[in-house]
Amino acid sequence: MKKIERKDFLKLGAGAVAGGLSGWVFSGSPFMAFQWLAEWTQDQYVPVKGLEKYVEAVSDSCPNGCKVSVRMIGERAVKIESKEGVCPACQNALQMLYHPERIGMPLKLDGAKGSGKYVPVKWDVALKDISSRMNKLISEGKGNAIAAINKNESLNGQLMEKFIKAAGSNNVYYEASLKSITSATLGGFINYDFANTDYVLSFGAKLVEGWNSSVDMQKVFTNWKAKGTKIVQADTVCTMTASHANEWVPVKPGTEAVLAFGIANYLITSKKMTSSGDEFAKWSQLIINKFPLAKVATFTGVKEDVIKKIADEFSKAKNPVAVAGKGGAGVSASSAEIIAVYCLNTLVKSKAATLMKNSAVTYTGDVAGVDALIKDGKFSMLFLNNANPVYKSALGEDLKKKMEKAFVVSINPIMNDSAAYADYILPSLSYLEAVTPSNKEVVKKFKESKDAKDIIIALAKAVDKTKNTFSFSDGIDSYKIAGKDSATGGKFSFNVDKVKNVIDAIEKKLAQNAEYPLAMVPVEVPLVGDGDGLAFPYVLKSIDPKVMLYNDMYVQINRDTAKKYSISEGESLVIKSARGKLGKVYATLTDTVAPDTVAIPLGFGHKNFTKYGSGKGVNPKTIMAADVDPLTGTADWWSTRVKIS
Amino acid sequence: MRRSLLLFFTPFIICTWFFFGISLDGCRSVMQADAAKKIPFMHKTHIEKYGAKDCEICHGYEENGRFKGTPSIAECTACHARDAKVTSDDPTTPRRKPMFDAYKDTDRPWGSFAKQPDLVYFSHKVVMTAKYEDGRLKARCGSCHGDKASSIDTKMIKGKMLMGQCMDCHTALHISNACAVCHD
Amino acid sequence: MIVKDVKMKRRWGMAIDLDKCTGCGKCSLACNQENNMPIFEDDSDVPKRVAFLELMKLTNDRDAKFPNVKTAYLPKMCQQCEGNKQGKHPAEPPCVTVCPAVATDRGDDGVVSQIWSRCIGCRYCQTACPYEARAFNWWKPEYEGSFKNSLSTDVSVASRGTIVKCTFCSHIWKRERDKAVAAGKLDINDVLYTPACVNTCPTGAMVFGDLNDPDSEVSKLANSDRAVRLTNVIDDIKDPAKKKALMDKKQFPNPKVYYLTSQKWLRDMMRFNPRNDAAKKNS
Repeated sequence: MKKIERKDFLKLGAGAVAGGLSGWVFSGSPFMAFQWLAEWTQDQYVPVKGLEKYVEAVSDSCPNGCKVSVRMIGERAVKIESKEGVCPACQNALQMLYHPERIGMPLKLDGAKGSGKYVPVKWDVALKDISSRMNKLISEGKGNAIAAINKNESLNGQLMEKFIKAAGSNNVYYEASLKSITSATLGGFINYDFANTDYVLSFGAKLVEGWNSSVDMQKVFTNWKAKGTKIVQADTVCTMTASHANEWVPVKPGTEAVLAFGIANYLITSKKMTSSGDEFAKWSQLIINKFPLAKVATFTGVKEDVIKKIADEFSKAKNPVAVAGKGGAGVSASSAEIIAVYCLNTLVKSKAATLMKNSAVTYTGDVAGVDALIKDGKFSMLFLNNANPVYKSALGEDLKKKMEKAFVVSINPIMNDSAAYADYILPSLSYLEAVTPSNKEVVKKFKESKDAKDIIIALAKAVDKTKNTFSFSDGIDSYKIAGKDSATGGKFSFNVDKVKNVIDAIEKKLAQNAEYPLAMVPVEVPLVGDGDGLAFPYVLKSIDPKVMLYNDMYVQINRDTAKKYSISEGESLVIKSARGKLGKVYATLTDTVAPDTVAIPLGFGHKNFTKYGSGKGVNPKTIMAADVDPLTGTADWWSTRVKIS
Repeated sequence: MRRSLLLFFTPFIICTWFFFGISLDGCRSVMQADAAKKIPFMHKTHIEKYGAKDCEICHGYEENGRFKGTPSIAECTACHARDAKVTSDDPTTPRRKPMFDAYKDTDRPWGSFAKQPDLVYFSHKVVMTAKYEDGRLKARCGSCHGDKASSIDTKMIKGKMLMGQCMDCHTALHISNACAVCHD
Repeated sequence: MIVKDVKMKRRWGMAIDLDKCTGCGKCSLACNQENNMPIFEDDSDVPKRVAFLELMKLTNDRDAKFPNVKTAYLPKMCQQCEGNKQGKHPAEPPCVTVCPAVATDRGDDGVVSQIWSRCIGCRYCQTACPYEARAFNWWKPEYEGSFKNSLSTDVSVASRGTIVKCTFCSHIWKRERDKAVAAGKLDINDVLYTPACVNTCPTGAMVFGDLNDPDSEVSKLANSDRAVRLTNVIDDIKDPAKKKALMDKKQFPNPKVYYLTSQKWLRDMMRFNPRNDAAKKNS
């Protein structure tokens, strides 16, 4: 045999390669190979198929109880639809249900508060620890040092109220909302008969942008458009409500209350109208003296003849209604404002505004509201029922300090800024996992999480004093004791002694201030609301680039004001108030904002709200006005004096 | 010269044969020919001897028109009751099959030869219900899946169909071949 | 062989009443949920955002000063253009004419399909679209962890490097077709459906239907005085001779989404009117 040389290896190699190639080609494989390669490199996730059907459910997130249809594929819920309407938060419930940062087991703090370090523990361990601490406080006669803050007055909120009150504490509160601050002021919340009104005078209430029940208001708005109801909106910024209104009354920031005083003044003096509220005479004297129309015109920027015209139209309408509660999802109003606006309703004997109360909900405790609790309250134990006051209250930073010294239990499905300061986090459910009298759960509950109602009932049973508060042990039975709404009879007081100070404070804030020449007011962004929406990716997907772009947050400034301060489009700003300063934000110039005003979006600046909600923008509440109103127990953070640099 | 040819063609032939074989295996797996067939099944006897002439008995539709695909064990135990006798002289009662004991009624132990990628939408309901003017059905199960009725085992007859097959029939029947008809 | 030609008689269109839109954002949510929109931790890179429906915020403050300002929200999705049907060249939407891979094509029912698997990612269509309605998958569409559980099987998940866009939820048409056939209604023209956005609009601002049916609500709205189409400038030309002359020569998108507004500033803005002089030029 000849020796095998390099040339021979080449021939062998060439043969092998050619052979392999021809084998591959002639098998017809290249076509399959490319198809396979395309599919393999894309590595696309293929959703799992299953039996398709629709399942009905009722949302228990808020007292509205909206009905929804959930499209299921197998065991997976893939779409929420509703014939009668559902608010954006509940329509987006799938993103809460399937959020990768859902808490699956009770968490116990394992580090400093706010560090986010928690370890999972078993339910009985957590309940035992919490109940033994409660037992100890109660046995020492310190039951009143146990406080609770509910997100809203849905059934689990009502159960929490019963539980805490049975433990001997009067310190149960509801996060500031239109209903809570109105109730604290007037002894009842207002039920509006919007369907039968022909004239709506709104003082900053963003009627179509999340105010009150957004589901109801969208239907109301459609109805108004069809009927031709006249909507007059007093607002500082040209919001959608202002734009849709028949008449937008641009008012200087924070002067909605003053406008109400002016209109009341005119109706009382020129039209000799009276109100049935207690201390009306005293109040009208105060208003007439303090707020002659000329002064109102100067403060609000609304001309005297316009004020008179609005007042005339309002009083002559068949069934007019005046609406208070500045804002959309996040509502703010001082007691003076609420009283003044409700007074207008009583002056014209409006049939469209009725004071109501719920038999199972008391909005005030030892103090009038959450901010009063943060400022003056003393608590050694705090329950947070899906509430987020650390983020939403203007006194959030102060609350953090008090929470660091108290024992805190938070009931919520995902981490939020307040839960990050809790000793225990007890995971609750989305409404899709809850059982209601009308439906079974749509999806099996997530790991060890429990219905908030069941958690509260279990807590009550574990604490000696409250063992027998609930005669049932299953949350589904608690529907029997759900509170009912009823009219209060309309009695309310003008509370002049307390309101006097509030009015003085308003005047002071509106006076010229050289150090803080501008006013900062909030605006809301669709789907984000007052902050709850930011943890969800599909909400992030809708945020306008003039609000947030490349993770920079923008505030809106009037063009003339920007020229005055030499601010150009996109320039970075530092905003300072008497309470402190905000992190870097950027300016966008628009004439939809009044001069000498900075409009800042609410809902951003979370520190602990899952990776989707955290670290985006700034939270203006940290520097917003924080004087606690004596009647509402809440700060009217709407308008804050600021300076920009 | 002869030596060169030998050196070249020996590996050539070996590699051609070898890679041909590997490639065919690869093609088979891409065509899903090895879709798991854990339970043996004979279509021929079930259709001819036991009168299950309508394919829809086991390969049925949901109420909303979606095709159920390969049957679940429930379709089998509907006749081969779990509490029937394993052996018996009575030719009219289906026997109990112990091989089902390891499965729940909701299990689907068969993979699908015809599974299409995610981006293909195919509606059995629409295609199988379509009729000509004179009332004849335009398509039968065998038109695309091959003569399954005569098959005596679970081997693949026609695997994952490529797009051209669908388009050819649509063209012939004057049905739209616009993209959105089959894709989303 | 006796084969009857079945012709699709529907031409799907949409009417969006901006006098009723409150900017609630539910249309955007419903669309994202229905169409398996990819999930990103930071979705603030707006030019690169992947979404079929963009909720645009508009204001007239380019021309007006406080307080004579107005705002409006405008849900913008693929306008399902038809192209110039009366011109010499075949009528195609601008995006379809430029696609080198036939990844996008106008369907028989007027809906412009987008098949991501044919797309080569050249983004020519994204450039050609006058409405910036097409989104490019700059990153691989991903769904973190349990978010995968809410994905629909009716819409396939696209790959990185492909274009995606609104298809008027044509997969819902397919879903409804299945239901109709199961109920015995075999005619494709029997099928009516509602896209996700229209289904969820709480004020009824969004209306969807068959533009070929003169009795449908969408046809009536499209022909009303308040109807205006985005940057379809030929709509403004009132002189019939001039209009015909232009139609013989020019291409224009001819979209099937009609916006309704009684506000002049909004109408002007939708036509890219450079201040008010344009009104004189086009008459």
